Amino acid sequence: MAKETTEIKRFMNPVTAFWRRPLVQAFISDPVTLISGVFLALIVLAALFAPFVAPHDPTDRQLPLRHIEPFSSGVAADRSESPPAEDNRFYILGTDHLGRDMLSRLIFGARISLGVGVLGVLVSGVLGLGLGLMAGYYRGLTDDVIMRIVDVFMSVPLLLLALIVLFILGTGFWNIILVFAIGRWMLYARVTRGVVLALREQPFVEAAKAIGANDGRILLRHILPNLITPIMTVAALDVPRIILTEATLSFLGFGIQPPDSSWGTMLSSGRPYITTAWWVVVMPGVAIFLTALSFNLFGVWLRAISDPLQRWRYLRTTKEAREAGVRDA
Amino acid sequence: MALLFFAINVLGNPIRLLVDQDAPPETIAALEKKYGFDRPIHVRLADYFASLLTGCQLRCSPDFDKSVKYKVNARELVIGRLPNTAVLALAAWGIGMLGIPLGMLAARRPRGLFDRAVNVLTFAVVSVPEFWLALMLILLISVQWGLLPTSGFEGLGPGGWKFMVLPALTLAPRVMGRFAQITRAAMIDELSKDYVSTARAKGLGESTILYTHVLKNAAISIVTLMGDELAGFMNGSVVVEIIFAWPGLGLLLIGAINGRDLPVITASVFVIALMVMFVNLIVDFLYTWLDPRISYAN
Repeated sequence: MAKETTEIKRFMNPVTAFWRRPLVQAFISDPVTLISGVFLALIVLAALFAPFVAPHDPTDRQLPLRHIEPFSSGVAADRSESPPAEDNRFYILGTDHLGRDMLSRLIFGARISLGVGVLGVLVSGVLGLGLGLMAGYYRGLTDDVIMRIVDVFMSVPLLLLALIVLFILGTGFWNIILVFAIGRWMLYARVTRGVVLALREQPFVEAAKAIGANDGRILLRHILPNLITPIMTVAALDVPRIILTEATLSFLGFGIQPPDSSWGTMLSSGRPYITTAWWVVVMPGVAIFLTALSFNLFGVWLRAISDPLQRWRYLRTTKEAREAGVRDA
Repeated sequence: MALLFFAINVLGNPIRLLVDQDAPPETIAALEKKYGFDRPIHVRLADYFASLLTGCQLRCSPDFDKSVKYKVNARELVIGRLPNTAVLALAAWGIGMLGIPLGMLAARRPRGLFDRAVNVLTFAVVSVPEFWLALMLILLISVQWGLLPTSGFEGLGPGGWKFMVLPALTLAPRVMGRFAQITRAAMIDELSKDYVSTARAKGLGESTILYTHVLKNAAISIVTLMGDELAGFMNGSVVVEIIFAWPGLGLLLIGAINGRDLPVITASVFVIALMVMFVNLIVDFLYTWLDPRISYAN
């Protein structure tokens, strides 16, 4: 007699299935995280598609239209000198001391500010990851040497290091990336080493060794995938720090140099006009602040969600569980 | 310090930094000879460390220790500026201590309404660029309301307090935010431990548990993490000193970098590195005081 088994399969609409996923649920149900995540997405998109998003050319100087207040059009301003190239230009965030549109400059500045933040984290992360892997996996002398260097670098204030390196090498985009690479790698080296020390004793590493995998394969195929979450968390929280430091460097005149401009450069060039045109200083500052805040809030959520001891506080119980009588966390 | 040596000697030519860009080669050669940069690198390294131990800068001779700009001994100049920076730091960290009770209250109910508010608030203050906050404070308090002077310095005595309020207020929020975050994390960590359940089981009041048991144990993590924050604090201090024209180490250092005053740069970095090491030493001693189980003697 044939056994009759009924296989219960639930076919869910892929879209609803996606929304039901615990991670997505956790993301949507936390308003603070949702807002910061959406804001970050907007900023990144605006930076990527800057030429299409920006209302005006960020380098277009309209001297008669200098220091126009936010939410006003060019016509309202005094045009006693020569008439501007285009009439009826509307400036959402006003213009700077050379009559350039603030909003467009901010959007293009995001490319450099975010670029420094992301590239700085990427380069320092790869460097720290490599050294941390070596320190944790080989232990012994390699570990001692690398970790002592980490200690030395930890005690140097980042800005001090940056000022000295930029003083010697000169300023420029890639030199700033270099500064963050040598100034932030130890963060990742420390985290990586800690995780690797624990992982290398795990049975799956032993098994890989038993099959005859070499060190490179073990490190890259078996250990590295386990490092992605902790490293991502550190990285997300370090991006705002790098963005803030770059802004500070540019403000001091050691960072991005005109004609390129990051948000820090804009703030620095607007500083003399702070009493007559407040928006020139306030707007880039708000941009830096909101971006750094969003990265921080998103990063801290990422950290909590990837920590098994904290995760439950952020996860909402699923519909099925609620029906089974589990309370909302 | 070795780092500084390599930075100066390997990455770039120090003499090029001292002279104008279009200086004739003869001048450069003469200066190289004067400062001893024509010698091989290992001789220079040895000389560098010897000079640090004996308390001189670049090379031991009264001529080379002098600040190019101020014509006085660079290290004395730096040490003279040290108290100004230290007082500012103390004021900022004093105000920043307010973050500890904030973090404790937040830790009582993680993910509660108060905790969420503190979370956003602390990350907000940590995300504000210091130089921007300084400018906003000047714009509001000094320019709009005319309450305090925009910048300046009138000694550390009672008359100078007016000039200290704004720099301290600029630096304090970040310290406070970090204190609150660290305290919260450490407290939540401690509150999940078994001894807390024991204390609750035997009927101790919640505030007794928090203040006498948990806070004391959490203090170790708080002290460690805040020790790490100090190096970061120097970043903000430099900027704030520049904006408020506060004559501390940061202002001196930036002036020296802009003026290519190599002896002063070396001396400032040396003193800042010493300060960081000194604070780390204090942190280590605090451990043994907070937790007698930790001992450095064998």
